[in-house]
Amino acid sequence: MKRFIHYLLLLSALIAASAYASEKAHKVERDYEFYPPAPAFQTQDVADEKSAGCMSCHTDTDSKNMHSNSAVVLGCTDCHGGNASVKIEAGMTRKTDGYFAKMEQAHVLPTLPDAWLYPSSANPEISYTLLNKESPEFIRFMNPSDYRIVEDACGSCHQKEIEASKRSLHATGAMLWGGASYNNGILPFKNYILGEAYTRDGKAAAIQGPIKPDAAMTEQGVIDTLYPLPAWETVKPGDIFRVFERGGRNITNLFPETGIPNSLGVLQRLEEPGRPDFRQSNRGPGTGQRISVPLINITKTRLNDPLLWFMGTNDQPGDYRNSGCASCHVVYANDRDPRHSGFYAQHGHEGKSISKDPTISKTESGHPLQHTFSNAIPTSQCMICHMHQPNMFMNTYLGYTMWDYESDAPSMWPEKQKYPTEEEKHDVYEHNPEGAAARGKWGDRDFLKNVSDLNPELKDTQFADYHGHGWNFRAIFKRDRKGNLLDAEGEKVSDQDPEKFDKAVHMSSVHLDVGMHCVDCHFSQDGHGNGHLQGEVALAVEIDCQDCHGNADSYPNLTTSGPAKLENGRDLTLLRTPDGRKRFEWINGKLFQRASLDPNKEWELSLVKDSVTEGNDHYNEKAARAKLMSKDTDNLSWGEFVPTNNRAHQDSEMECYSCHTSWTTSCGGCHLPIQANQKTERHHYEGGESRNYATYNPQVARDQIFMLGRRGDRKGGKIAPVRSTSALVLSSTNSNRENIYIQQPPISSSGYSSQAMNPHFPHTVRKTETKDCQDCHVSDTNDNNAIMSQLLMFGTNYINFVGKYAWVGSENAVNAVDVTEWEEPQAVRGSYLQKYAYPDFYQAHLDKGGELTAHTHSAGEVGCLQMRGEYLFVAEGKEGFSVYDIASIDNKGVSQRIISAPFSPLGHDAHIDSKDASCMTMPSMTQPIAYERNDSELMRVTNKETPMHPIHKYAFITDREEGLILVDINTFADGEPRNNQLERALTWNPGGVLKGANHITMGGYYAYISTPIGVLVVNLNEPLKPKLESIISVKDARATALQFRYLYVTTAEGVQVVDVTDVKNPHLLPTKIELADAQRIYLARTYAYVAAGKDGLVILDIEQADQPKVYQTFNADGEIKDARDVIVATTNASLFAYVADGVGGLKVLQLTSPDIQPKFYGFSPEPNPHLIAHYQTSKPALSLSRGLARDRGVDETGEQISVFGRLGSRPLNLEEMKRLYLNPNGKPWTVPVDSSTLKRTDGYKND
Amino acid sequence: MKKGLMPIIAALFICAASAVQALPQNDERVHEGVASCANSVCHGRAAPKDGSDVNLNEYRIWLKNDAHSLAYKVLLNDKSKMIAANLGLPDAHTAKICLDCHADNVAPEYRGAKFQISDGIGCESCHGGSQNWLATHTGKDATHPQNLANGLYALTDPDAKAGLCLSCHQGTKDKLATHKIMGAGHPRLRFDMAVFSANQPRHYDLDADYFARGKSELAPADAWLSGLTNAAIGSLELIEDHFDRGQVFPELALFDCHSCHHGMNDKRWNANSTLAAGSVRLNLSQIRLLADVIEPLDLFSSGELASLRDAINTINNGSQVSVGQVKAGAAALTLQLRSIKVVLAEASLDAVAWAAIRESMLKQAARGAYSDFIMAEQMFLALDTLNMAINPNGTYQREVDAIFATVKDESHFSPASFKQASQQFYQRLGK
Repeated sequence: MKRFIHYLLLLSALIAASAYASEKAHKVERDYEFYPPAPAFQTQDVADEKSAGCMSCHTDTDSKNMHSNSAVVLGCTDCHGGNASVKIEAGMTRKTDGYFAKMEQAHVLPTLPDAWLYPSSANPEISYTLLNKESPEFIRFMNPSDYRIVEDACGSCHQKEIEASKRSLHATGAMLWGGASYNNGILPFKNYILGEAYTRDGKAAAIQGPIKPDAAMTEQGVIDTLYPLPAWETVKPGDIFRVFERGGRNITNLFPETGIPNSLGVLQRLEEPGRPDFRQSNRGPGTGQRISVPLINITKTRLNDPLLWFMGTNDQPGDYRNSGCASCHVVYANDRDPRHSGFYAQHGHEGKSISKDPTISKTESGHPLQHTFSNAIPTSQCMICHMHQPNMFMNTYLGYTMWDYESDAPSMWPEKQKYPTEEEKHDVYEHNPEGAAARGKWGDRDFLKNVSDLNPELKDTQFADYHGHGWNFRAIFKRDRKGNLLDAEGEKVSDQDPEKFDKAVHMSSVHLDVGMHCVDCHFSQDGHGNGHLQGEVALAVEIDCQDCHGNADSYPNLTTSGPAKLENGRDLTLLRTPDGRKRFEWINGKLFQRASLDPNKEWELSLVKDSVTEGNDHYNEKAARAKLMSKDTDNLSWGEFVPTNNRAHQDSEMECYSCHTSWTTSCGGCHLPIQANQKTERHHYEGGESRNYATYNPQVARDQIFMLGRRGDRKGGKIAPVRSTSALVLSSTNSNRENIYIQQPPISSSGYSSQAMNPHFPHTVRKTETKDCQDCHVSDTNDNNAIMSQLLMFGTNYINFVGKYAWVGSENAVNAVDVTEWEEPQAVRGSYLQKYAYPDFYQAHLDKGGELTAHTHSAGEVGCLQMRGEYLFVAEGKEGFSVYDIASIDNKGVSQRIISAPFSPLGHDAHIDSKDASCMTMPSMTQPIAYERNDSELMRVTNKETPMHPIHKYAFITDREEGLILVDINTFADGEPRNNQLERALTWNPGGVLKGANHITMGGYYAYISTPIGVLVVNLNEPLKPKLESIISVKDARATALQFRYLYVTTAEGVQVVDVTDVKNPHLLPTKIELADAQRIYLARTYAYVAAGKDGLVILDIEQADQPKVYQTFNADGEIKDARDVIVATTNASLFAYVADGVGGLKVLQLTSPDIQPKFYGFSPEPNPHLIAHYQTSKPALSLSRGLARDRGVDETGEQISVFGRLGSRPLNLEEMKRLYLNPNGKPWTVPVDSSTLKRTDGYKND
Repeated sequence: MKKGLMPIIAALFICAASAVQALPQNDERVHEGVASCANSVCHGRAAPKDGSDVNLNEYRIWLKNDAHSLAYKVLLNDKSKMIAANLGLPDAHTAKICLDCHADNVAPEYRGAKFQISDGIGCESCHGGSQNWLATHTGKDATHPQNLANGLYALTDPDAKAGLCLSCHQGTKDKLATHKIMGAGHPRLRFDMAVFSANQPRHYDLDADYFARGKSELAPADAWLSGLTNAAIGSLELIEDHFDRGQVFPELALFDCHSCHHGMNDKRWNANSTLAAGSVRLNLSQIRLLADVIEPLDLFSSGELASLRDAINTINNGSQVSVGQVKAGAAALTLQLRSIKVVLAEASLDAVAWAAIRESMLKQAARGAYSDFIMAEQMFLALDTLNMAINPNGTYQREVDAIFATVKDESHFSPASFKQASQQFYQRLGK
């Protein structure tokens, strides 16, 4: 037997190549001895005996017992198992015959030697579920701290920590599966039920809490049991896409497979031309390719992988680590930046060892730095996992966010376009699941690891030195709203300055800047968990800002007070740094903290009470003003006289970091395209391969979005910053490479749109770059209307997503114009990104004069159209109102891609006759929602979801003759096409007041209807009982656009502005932009884009929203001849405008890009329009469908639209919003731009 | 063992049964540092561990409640800075003279990886360097004697414990809060083994498993007497080691501070004193009290008692004559005290004996014999312990408190008030 194994091992050493496919690894039967658990105590003599043989080869090690405390007495085999009596004879070396045999006698050998690349001891790359297939004995030998077997080595002393750790979010990942499944409509449980855990022999296991939670504990978020994540193929999808609907054709006996529809293409040939794709097998949802894409993404890409039950992938800087306790406590070389890695930085970032042990390779990657446990865990170790989106994205702490493929594109994309084969793509995706990586230079790991070396030469950004998952992270610099780089004093730094990135402030956390690593705030309990099962990250944290900084009234008591604290909290003064110092100490009235990593570092803590106390050395008037400000909004009096309960910014009402945040990351969405015939492994549970795969493609990661919402009650219900949390759009390509649906946003389990939002702590605390008054309140110069719109989560129509097709309404058709690449990155044709990512395609685009192609469907005169999910809602003049099925728009197997009747018209009628439908809208506008999902006890009581307003049931149509028509469109979200029988719910035109109505805008449940006599404000709080609130008299109102307090109206006179702060009493402002032929208008942050007929595109600067100014008139050298409508959207880092140019068709303009606007990272950089592509419609183009609004969580009347990912969290309601800018009498109050003009007083100014 | 000859001789003399251990500061073993003990798996638990023979929250008690943990930090405050400046030292927290008692000031080569001088009087300052016992003391079957054999400092031995405490709270040959240090601002020292131990506070329980591990501890009254005896002998050793500085004035820290330091109108001399008015009095408070303490016990002959008082008078009178006479007197007195100590150590005193001692002390106080503040203070501290030993239910607490009221402020000490309060207590005893 031994001989056979030896032979096998030699063989495997020879053929050891690809390690990923453990499936393919040959299994070796082994008969292991019993290795007893490590004892809690033994004498050194006994322990030495257990190391004796080992040390004959290993001769030296960094720490015999792995612990830095000699009270721990351990021999090698106590932890690792194996036979310590085997010794090599004196003089024997590795080269001596018999050495290897001795080693094999002493070591515990793997059952899957080739998968482990045996006899190498390095962590194999991308091993994932290999640990679930290997014997516990070998796992213990290789990593005694792996959770499967950790009790053996560590249990006699650390059982408590072991049990807590296995239940912690670090191990279960419950927040990932929970958030993803809820937000994307897969599971309806906001008290999450899924989590990762395994048995000793690698079987999926449910994991229970230490005690059964009672009602109060449940209320606090303690979970009873977490269950294993089911295999993705067997889960019923929550998505309501067309392919999940009943009906269509299917052949019962030929459609049995899971995950592999249409294998051999046989079925597809049975499908008749012109018919929609068949849908699912007789086994129902979850069969064929009809599964939830987020689920496959969870199990097959590196989106959330791996967690602590598995090793790091050990393939790229930022990926080197082991599993179990060693995940954190055994440090690997991952990052060369000392701010991230502390003193470990000097050892490089390639996972190489510096061990004293002569048998450990110093040149091979995948080894820990040393054989020792450490509590001096560098941030770089945490960042192995916390660089992921979503939920726990901590790059922000370091001052980085995800790169967007655009900045410094010339350095990152190959000069010659790559045409990766499927195999090449697959190889890249194993290391980096971004679709774009297969085309970019960074898909090459040798290039990737040295990306930060490019920094001195880069123009647009600076990269971090860690690349977990193969990703690049760009540094965030201080900028003003226009995107100018700023230095510490707030002075502008020129874009041309070669030292601009040294001069501009890098927006890392001030905590990082003083030298703090994650473990300087998050002590053992935050790492290990408090022992209970938790589902939400913030609930699992015991530390809180005030614990160390105190508040305005008292000094910190150094006792934890966060949601996860146990009993009365942890006394932080007891803590010691790894080098033995007291972690916190008051010395002569100052509070000091000692660094975990640097034994010579300590810092004085900022104490809030000092900062607000006049005369104190640390007095800071801005801090005092903010903390002691009264609710007296008329005078803004502040000072010590203000009692706590009359303060504007109370600790009990808002999180410290609502202000103490310099920036937040907002991932405005990710594209997950599932593809058949991509045989890949599952990364969890039983592993195994299946033939589907989805890449992972961040689309819009912005850093200048700041929004506020409320945390759930469990976390105190305070006001907190909210971020967009990686909302998804999903696509599916079947085995015939037919795109059976594309870029579809799913709907959350609560019925709200899946453009998920999440209150969070951005971890970007800085001292100077905090939020200022005018970041959350109306400024006295009234220059922050867009900021307020963003803050309150109304959205700014800036990072909206126009996908592969721009939808254009023309006089006789709806047109789906193909505006982007399908492959990743989905660059706009003719754009900066296309130029670098696809130079050949870009050239071809130029060669054909920038002409685009389209799919069209005949229609009436399309005054308004809106794509929402798989449907296109169209007001088509005399043809009335129609809903088109556009699910198959990119399906090459479908001849008529825009469908009015997906099956017999007898069972489906998505049309309303009306006399002259001029326009339509929906309150959620671009975001798919499902009203009925929201309406249940589960949602209302258990999940604490706010009720959805009934306005969301309807589409609102204006008809020039009939007035306002309401149509119930709910059935389009229920996955049942047979009930799509549209009927009017209401026709409303009292006294013919709506005659000539030609445009409608919804601001919450208020509709603004443009008519020849002016704009009518209609209250639809009771949707079927409309109430005319007022008429804003203007001459021939043509269209409106709303941004927070101002309604912009295009009229016969040009552009006029209405103050709708009090929507019941709107008043027309005197200011007017005179234009000869203003048509539709679109507001995107501080610019208004006006389709101005023959004048082309007129761009207004609306930073001061009540005083618009013409910024630029643009007609692309006469190319834009008759601008009728315009929308703006973001693709990657760049801004684009789409213009419906009447006789000219669609015009695509690039507004910003690194080469035409170096300030492109600003909140609202100046647009610099360039015509890059166009499509000629057959008849004049009239209208455009707006892009998916990715930053709109709530409407203007405070009704929630998009899902909030944590139980009880929500956007601000209307009353809460109003407090930020209206006094109790409903009158606006303002804050000065320079808040230092507000002086401290001894009493209220009006006293 | 690298101390001078004297301790060895002393050891042979008084405790032949147990070898004298070097004080932890000089134990020549690596002090691994408080952090080596403070781990939450070891002695750093937040609350006592159920079912464990050791509470394992000792670190917490030390850090949160035991003033020893603040010993170093005191050196950072303004007063310490002032003292250091007055002494011409750059810093108090770096000066050996300060650190020797305010921290575990072992030689650099004996400081382990996690050792922090800033921990003040930490675990190993008292328990000794853990180099040889850290790994073994965690064993389930590890016994106290084994740990002692591995170098744990024998705090269960009353003399060893007293020697350790007194090494800072009174002084040794090597370290002493001299008159110069006090002149620079350092407060006066005082010590009472029982009271100070009670206030430390205790970080262990005297329960069955404590004794089962081979440990023992004197009851408070016994501890007080042991401390008093050791302090009495210690005060004489200090005289021998420090009195003669070869300068005009002997070491003034060895005298009763208040014999000079009191208001000009506040005349302290009285006729009870054996010394003439205006004499500066040596601090023999522990010895003088001890003489009154042992008088009512049926352990010493009247000749021994008279001889002791003679010896005290001799050294007292000698202090007015010459250095030589003081040192000779101290030597003679030391010998007497050592023999008294042996007797006391073997005696087992009961409540009756403690009551007799209380009465004896109160009798002296009532007649005005303790008109010096240090005597009054020392007597009060003793009384506090004894009263609780005799009357655990709190009888006479009011009387004790009344006496405390007269000694709590040394700047405004009135011998008459003290005498009066003592008389009242003495009368309450039916005397």
